[in-house]
Amino acid sequence: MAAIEAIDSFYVQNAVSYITFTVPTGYQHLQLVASMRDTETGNWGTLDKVFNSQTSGGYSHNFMYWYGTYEARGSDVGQGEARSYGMAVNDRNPWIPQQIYGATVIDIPDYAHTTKNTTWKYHGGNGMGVSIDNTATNVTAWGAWAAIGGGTFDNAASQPHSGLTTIKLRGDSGQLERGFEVTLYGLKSS
Amino acid sequence: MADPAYLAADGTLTDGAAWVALASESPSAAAAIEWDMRAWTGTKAPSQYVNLVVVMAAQDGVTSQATGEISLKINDDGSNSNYDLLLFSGDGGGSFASTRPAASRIVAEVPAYHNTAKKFGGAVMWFHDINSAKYKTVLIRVAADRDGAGVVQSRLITWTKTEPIERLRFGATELNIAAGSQFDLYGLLPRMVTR
Repeated sequence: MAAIEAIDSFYVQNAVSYITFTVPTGYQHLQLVASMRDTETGNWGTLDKVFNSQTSGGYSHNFMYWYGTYEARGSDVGQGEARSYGMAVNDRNPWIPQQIYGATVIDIPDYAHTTKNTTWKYHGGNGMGVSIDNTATNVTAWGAWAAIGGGTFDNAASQPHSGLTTIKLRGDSGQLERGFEVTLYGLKSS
Repeated sequence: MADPAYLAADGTLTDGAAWVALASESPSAAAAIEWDMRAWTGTKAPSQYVNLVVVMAAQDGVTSQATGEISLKINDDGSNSNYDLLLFSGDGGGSFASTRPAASRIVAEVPAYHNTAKKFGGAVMWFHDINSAKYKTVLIRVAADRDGAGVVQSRLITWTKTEPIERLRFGATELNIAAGSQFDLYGLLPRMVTR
């Protein structure tokens, strides 16, 4: 028996608004590994996860982030999705090459529980315009961004939890770009 | 060696282990670590993997300083200008972010042999979508403590080339990774059959 199995994979051929994983039972933990870019406008992007189609709030998230020589921290409270920063965005062409995609590894421990809040943690980012950052006066304009973060889904309306059965992935706006690639892995226990 | 075993005896696709152990190196003398995957075939052929992961416990063999660095060449590309770095580093006294264009191929700051023979730095490196036409992104987490000194780091390296990753080479100061260091390479398969 393999300890880590690929549950499902997507490779986007034409831009799509979202991807949905159906999460089977039989694993102890989940891991999402993605190479990501979307069509949105803005200086930064997130890969958003919606658990069990629940978008009515309850997702909170703390993170540290950095670009250039700037470092900071932040939080999102009571959002409608589980955010992970580091998505490459599309609107800075031609300065930002189309070949730049963000990368992330997201862990969702003990996803099938029925009494715990669902948590996620991640490490992700993209190198958009790092070279340009070296000379730019406003580095945020170019979109390079890396972050470590994690959060908890605590939706009182859905208590008790029934375990994670679906994960919908989307950007915070726009569509997932051609070349967006993601695999959901399942980790088994003994 | 694990076998992905996604081809059954009758040739039909099946699913096996998603992580496949591809290579393991622990030099007995100071050396560089190099994996030339171009000659690897069968279940080791890099063209079938979507991501690579390197797990490292390493020490710089340099004897003239307390700390050293592990450097990376992808496909034998040693030009710093082809690598962009986002670094976040912290120790007991503070933290900083940097792009360090002159050191953009450094994947980890680690203890040096000069410091003590027993202290090694750990890192896990994720090479994403290695066969795509994208620039290649490498996500790295580093832990390199030296009894309260040392660092914890995140590094995000973008190799601004579109060709597939087929060779990885790790070096250190004066190219010497210390004896006893450990480098393991894993290939990550996507879902191979329709669920």
